[in-house]
Amino acid sequence: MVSRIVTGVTQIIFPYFMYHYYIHGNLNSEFHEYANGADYMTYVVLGSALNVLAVSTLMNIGRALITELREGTLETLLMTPMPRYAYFCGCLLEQTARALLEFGAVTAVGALVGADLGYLFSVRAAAVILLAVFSFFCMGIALSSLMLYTRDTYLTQNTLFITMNLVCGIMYPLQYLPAGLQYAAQIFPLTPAVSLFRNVMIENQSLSVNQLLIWQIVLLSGVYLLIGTVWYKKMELKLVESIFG
Amino acid sequence: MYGAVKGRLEDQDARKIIAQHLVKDYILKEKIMEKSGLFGRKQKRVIHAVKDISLEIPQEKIIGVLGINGAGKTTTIRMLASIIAPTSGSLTMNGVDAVKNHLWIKERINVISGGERNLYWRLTAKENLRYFGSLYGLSGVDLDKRIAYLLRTVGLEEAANVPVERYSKGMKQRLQIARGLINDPIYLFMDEPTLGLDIVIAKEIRNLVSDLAHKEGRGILLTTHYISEAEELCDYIYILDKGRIIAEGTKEQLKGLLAYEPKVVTSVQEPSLEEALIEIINRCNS
Amino acid sequence: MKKFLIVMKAEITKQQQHDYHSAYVYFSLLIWPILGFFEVYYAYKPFELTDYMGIEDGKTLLAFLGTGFMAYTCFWSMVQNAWSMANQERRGGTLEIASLTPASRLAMSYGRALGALIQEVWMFVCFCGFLLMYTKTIRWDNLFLLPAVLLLLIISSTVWGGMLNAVFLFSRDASIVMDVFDMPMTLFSGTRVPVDSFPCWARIVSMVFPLTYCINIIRFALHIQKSSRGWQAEILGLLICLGVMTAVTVFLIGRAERHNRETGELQFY
Repeated sequence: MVSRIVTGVTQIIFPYFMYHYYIHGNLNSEFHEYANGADYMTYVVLGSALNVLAVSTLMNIGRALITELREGTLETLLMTPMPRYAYFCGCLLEQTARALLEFGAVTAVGALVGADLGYLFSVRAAAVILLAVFSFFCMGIALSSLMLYTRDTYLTQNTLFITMNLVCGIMYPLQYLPAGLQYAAQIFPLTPAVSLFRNVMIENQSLSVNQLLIWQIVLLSGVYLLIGTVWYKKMELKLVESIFG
Repeated sequence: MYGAVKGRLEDQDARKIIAQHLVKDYILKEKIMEKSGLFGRKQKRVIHAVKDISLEIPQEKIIGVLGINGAGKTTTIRMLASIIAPTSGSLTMNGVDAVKNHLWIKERINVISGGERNLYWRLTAKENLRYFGSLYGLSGVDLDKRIAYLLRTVGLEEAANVPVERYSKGMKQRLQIARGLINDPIYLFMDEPTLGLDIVIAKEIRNLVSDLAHKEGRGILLTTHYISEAEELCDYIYILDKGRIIAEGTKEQLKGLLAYEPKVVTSVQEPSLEEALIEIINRCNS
Repeated sequence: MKKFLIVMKAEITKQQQHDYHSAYVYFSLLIWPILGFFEVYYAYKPFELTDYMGIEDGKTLLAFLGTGFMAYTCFWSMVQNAWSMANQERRGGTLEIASLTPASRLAMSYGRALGALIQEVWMFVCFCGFLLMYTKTIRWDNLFLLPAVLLLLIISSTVWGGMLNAVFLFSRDASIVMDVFDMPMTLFSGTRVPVDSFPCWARIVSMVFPLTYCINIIRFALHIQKSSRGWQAEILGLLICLGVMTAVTVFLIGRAERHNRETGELQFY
């Protein structure tokens, strides 16, 4: 938790140093165009805060089952008739408070370095955060199966998170990236979620004008949920064979 | 020649490790909770791990140290192997003060433990031995010959280039022994060398241990929970309890301690070493 | 001295045999730094670059970040390797066995650092080398500077790594060192942002990290950036840092040895 907060805060501090001390607020016209005239620090802080929420949710949901496997408790879990979704929902509820705490810490530091977060405590912002958490949860289920398949957490999670940092438009507008990467970025729910969050928080846009982004998040969530469910069922069969076989 | 023990001394009295009145105290920091106050504070407590131990390990002999868990065996071995310094008492190896010259001692001793740790699993047997040999300053042809000799001795020649992670338990234990012999030690400290091994492999290891002492002239200190192993191998046995030696002697002498005791001897057969050990510890505790 | 070198060589060889072709190494020290490098490169994209402190366009930015990341990866690999090896050695019981031997602990610490450097960082250094050639920072006429830069990096990283090995080898959980040396070191040493642009307090903090002097010297030698302190001051700063780190290493090892002789444990706490 501490290291995730440190990483989130550092993600703000770096651009802060670059923006204030090195470049003295000298942004180019492309940024204003791509970010719809948003203030740079606000833009970065919102991206970083949602990224912390994504990393936290993905990590906790993704690692839940493989942690059980490593600690030898998965055997007991598989023997029970519990609904698997209830298990993941339990993990989500357990970790949401912590994830929101991390999110809060990063936004608080962001406010200190000058980000304008006036719309954070609005129903719209809360709805976007809930939708984003749901999409990260769905992706986490797919990630959980991937981790069980590779029997690895460290390489998988770090490669995923570093790739998301690069392509999802957290620190800079997506348009700066080569076209191929911009398309690739669309497979991560974080990309539309960050755009939506910024539209709501910076421009106070209503959700109805962002339907396209909302549908993209819902669609991606559905796809990840489907992949995760099917894959998990296959993995469970294999696990049962390997543990009890 | 690579199996010969270096530093043989003519003076028989000087060819042994002599420990006299060894004492080892540890300071344990314990957290205690105050009745009032949120945070606990730490309190120092002295643990007398070894209270008074005097023993000898002559070359060419296998000396057994037996005792229940917590008797002080590990601390005793650690002191004898110069891993830790005794709080008081004297320790000499072949006439040299082992407390003051622990680096000199480390070149001439080695420790072998049971279990599967203490080896680099991703490395092969040869690579493991080359690494540990280098830590003793060995290199080049001498080290290569020593490694070849040891792999032959422990029967791992064929698997020399296989990573240790693919070894069976028995193979790992044999490699442990080769590792323990890499510096051609005069004295070996063996901590349960047959732990978890099947009877065939355990027998092989016991034969090897016997040869190391009786044929190659090394002094061996052995700790084990398998009493039959001690009975088969040890020339002399010390029984430890609560940091003290409570009995010592050859296995016959130890059994003899109970031979005329009607409470223990219920049949015409003489008591086993196991019965003798349990009875000695029980008597001492009562 | 011969024994010292034998132990160092053994540690280097062991590192190579232990981590050869490990996916962990390729990911953590090649793929992740490359992705991180491009993330920072794109983070500069919203800014108007106007030759301020030597960064005037995309190519000079690549050279600036390339040198910073190359030096940082060498230093960071030391932190990571010291941490993972110490954990593995402690769990595997090999640390205990190595402590039974009369081998010089200093040779072991430096051997480990050098071994990790040779084994793990060459791929990313090659990447940065190509980057510097692409940006024409390194050309045929100044090609001789490349081995000089690498030598500087090897010596500084090894001394740094030796100290970290001493810290990690003799402490049960020094993972806080990972947190302390990851982001703060990246920020204050000038890997991504020129140190000269920092406020006074941040410049003082940056002086604590030997990486700062290393990066400044490399950038000065390759004409990427001038140091406000002057190159003599940078070299003096680096020498002082190296001296202090060596002294700390010797002190820590000596203390740990005494502690080990007293309690039989290989950690302070």
